[in-house]
Amino acid sequence: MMEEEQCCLICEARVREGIVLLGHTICADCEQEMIHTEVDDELYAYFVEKLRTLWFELTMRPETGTP
Amino acid sequence: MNIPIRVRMQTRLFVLRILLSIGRAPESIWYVGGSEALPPPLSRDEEEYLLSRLPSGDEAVRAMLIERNLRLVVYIARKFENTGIHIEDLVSIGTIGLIKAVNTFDVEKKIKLATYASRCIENEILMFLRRNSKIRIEVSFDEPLNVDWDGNELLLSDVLGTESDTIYRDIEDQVDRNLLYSALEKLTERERKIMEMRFGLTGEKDMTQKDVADLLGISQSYISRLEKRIIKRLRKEFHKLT
Repeated sequence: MMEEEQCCLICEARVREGIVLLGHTICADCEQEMIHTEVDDELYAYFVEKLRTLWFELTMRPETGTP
Repeated sequence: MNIPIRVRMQTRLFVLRILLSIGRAPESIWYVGGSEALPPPLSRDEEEYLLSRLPSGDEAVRAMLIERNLRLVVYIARKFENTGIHIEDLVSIGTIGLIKAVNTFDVEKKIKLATYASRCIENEILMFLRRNSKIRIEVSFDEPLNVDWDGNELLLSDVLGTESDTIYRDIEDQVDRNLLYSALEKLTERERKIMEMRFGLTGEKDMTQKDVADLLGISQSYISRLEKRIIKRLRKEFHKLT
């Protein structure tokens, strides 16, 4: 559990819990929402749009060497 | 000196939790292959340890399993680049597939996570492509035409003269209030709260999407989409109840 609030990548709410992917938090509500949303749901397009950040995170990351 | 895998992974998870507890998202440094900086894959031992912890519902475990398999998403997404869908969207869709995979993975079944996740990622992309080829020639009434300075979307349905409360009035015409409340019981707490505030279902004045968004600390565009989805779900519930 996070003590400090983070902004959810999907709903933009300030949350204390969630998974963190490449430095971006996805709250538990949105994670569950994503799992149960069908591809033809309009909400799905919204998730796709919001998750684009991950791709930019992957491509914009500076070359910094091995972990 | 070889540090046992359990100790190594416990240390990593511990550091991850500490970073989260002080409000700092972990800034990972990854080996760069080509133009993308992808998190390195987990070793067999690391994955085994994390999978043994997966049923506990630990978010740090789930996040690490998802993040370290992102290269699988990129690898599979690249195979669909000639479909006309942008790579960033394919990666988004694949990531949803990967999140589904990690959430539904059964550690009891003798199958590798990578095998299961690959199937989920590919299925997710294929389902999207199938759906996309069907609706390419259609235009949705909910197609955003423009966005104003406050982030409010002007939808095609707005221009066509649909009044803002048509959906609610339609629902009211079709079913009585008791059915509505029974159906509301099937929603999650957040969904129910949104509907109650938006349509004044608890006797309070109905609120705009922006008001609800501000109150819940969620973006207005997300409320807009959630609302449509909830109404769709409510309709399904009505059909079951009637």
